[in-house]
Amino acid sequence: MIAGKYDRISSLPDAILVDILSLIALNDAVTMSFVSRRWLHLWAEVTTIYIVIKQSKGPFKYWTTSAKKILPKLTSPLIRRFCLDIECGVNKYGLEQIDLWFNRVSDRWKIEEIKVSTNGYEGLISFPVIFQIHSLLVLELYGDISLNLPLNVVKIPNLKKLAIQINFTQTKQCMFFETLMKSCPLLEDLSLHFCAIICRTGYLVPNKISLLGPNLKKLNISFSGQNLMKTIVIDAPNLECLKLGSSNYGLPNFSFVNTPTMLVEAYISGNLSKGEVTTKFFNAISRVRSLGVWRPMIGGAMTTMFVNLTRLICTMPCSGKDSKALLGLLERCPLLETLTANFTSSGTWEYMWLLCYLEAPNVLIRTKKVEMHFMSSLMLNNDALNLIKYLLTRARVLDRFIIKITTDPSGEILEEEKVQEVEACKEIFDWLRFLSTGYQVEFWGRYLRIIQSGEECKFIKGPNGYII
Amino acid sequence: MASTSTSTLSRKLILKSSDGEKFEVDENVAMQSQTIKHMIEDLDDINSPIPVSIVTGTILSKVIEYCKKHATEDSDSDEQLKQWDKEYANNMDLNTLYYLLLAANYMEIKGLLELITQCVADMIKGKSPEEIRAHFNIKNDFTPQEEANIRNENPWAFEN
Repeated sequence: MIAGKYDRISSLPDAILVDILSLIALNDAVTMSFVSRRWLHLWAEVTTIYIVIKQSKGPFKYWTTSAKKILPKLTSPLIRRFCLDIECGVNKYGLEQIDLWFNRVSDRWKIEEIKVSTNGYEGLISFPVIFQIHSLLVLELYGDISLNLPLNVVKIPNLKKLAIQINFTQTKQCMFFETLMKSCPLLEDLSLHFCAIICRTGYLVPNKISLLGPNLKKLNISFSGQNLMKTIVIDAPNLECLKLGSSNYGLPNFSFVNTPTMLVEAYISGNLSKGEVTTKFFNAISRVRSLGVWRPMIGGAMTTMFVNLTRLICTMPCSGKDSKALLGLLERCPLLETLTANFTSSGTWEYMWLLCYLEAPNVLIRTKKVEMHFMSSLMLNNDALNLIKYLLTRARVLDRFIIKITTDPSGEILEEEKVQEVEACKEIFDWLRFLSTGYQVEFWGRYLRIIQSGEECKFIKGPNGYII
Repeated sequence: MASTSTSTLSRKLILKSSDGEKFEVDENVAMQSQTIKHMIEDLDDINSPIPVSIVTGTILSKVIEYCKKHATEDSDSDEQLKQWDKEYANNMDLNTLYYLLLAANYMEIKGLLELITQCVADMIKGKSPEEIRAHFNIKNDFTPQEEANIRNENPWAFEN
C-alpha cells in the first residue's frame, strides 16, 4: 500500500483513537499499546469491552483466571457496551466465569448494551446475570442461548432493543420469553428468531404465541427449521416497521389485536397461507408506504388495495402465473412510485401472459422508477421481454427503467449468455426509439452495459464495433 | 435512515474549503453536517460562502460525495447503501482516510465518522505490533527493555 512516509494516524486526537480502539477486540486494542508510546495507555480508555474467545486455552484461560488483573487496568469512567464473541467450545466452569464477568462489569459501569454471538460454539449458553442488568437498553443474543431460567430473574425494565433466538418447541423458553416481553414495556425494536431444535426431552409446538409491545416500532420475525407454530398474535398498536422471513419460505399465520395504523413498512419473504387469516392480515397492513412481498401470487387471499403504497419490492420466479399476480397487485397500488422486481428463476408461461395483460390496463400510472433484476441473462426470453415491453408502454411518468443481471460477476460469461444479452438489448433499445420516450433506460448485463437517455446512447462495454 | 425532507425546491448553499475552492450543494446535503447546520442557523445571508476552515477542496469534494449519497431518498435499500459505503471507504488511501476522519470529526457527520473509524479499526484487527507499525508507518520509540516489560504485563493479548 502506498501510504506516504508519515505516521498520520498517531497525530489524531485521543478521542478519535479511543473510538477506533473501542471497535476492536480487547486483545487487539492491547496489541496497539506495544506499537509506540503514543498508544501505550489509550487502550485502557475504551468505551466498549469487546472480548473474542477463540479457543478454550490461551486467551480464554487468561481471561477467566486474570479477570482481576485486567478489569482494574481499564481507566475509562464510561463503558457502555459489552460484546462477547464465543468461537469455540467452553466448559461449564468457563460459562460461570463469563457470567461473573458480566456481574463485575455491570457493577462498575453503567452498561447499556450487551451483544453476545456464539458462532462455532455448539450447545446452549446461559448467562442469567444479563437479564438483571437494570441499566440495559440494548440486548442482542445471537445463537443458542438457554432461556430455561427462573421467571423471576428478569429485571431489565429500560430495554429498548432486543434480539433473541427462541426454541419454540420448548415450553419453558416460550414462557420465559413472554415474561421477558411483559417486563420490558419500553421495548421499541424486537428481532425474534424462532427455531425448532428438537430436544431429547420431547417437544411441543405451541398453537399460539402472543407478542405484546405497547411501544414497539420495529418487529423482525424469522423462522428456521421444519416445524411451524400455528399463529402469532401481534399486539403492538404503535408498530411502524414489520419484517417476516423464513429459511424455507413457510410462515405461520399472523394476526393483529389492533390494526397497526402507524405501520409504514412491511417486508414479507415467505409463504402465508391462502385463507381468510391472510386476507385479514393484508387488510390490516394496507396503509403501508413501502411493501416487500415474496411471490405476490399468494392466492386470492391478497385483494387489498394499497392506497398509500409508493414503493414495492417483489421477489418471484419469472413465470406467467407470477407475472399475472404481479400485474394484479400493481393494479391495486395507485400511488406507486418505485417498483423493484427480483426474478429468481424462470418458470412456465403457457397461455397466461396474454390474458394477464388484458386484465391490468392501469398499472404504473405514477411510477417514476422501475428496476428489474434477473438472476441470469438466460432468463431474458421472449416472455420476459414481453413483460418488460408491457410495463414500458404502461408507465406514463417514468424517469428511469433499469434492467440488471445479478449473476455473480466473477464467473466466466458463457457464449449463450452473450447472445441472449445482445438479442434482448436489440429488442429493448429498438422499442425505445419507437416509443421516443423521455426516460432513461439502463441495461446492466454481464456482457453489455448500456445507458440510453433521450437521443443519447452510452455504450459502456461490449464487443467491438457493435452498434445498437 | 436518510434525511426525511421532502421539499422539492431545496435551497442551495455554497461551501468554501480551506484552499478557497467553492462547492454549491443542496441545503439537505450540507445539513448532514451538524457543524454546518449550526452555522446556518446563525447566518443572516445564506448566499455568502460558508467557510469549512480546516478541510481542503480535495477532501471536501469527497465529503460532499458521501453526503449527497446519504441525502437523497432514492429507492436504494439499506443493503445497497452499505455496499456503496464499503466501496467508498475501500477506494481511499491512508492519507485520504486520515484527512476524511479529521473532516468528519470537525464537520460532525456521524455516519461518515463511523464509517471511516470502522475502516481504520478493520486495518488493525488481527495484526501483530510489527505489522501495524509497517502498515501505518508508526515509529517504535520504546527501548527493547521497555517493550519486554510491557509484553510481560499483558501476556494474554498474545495468546491467539
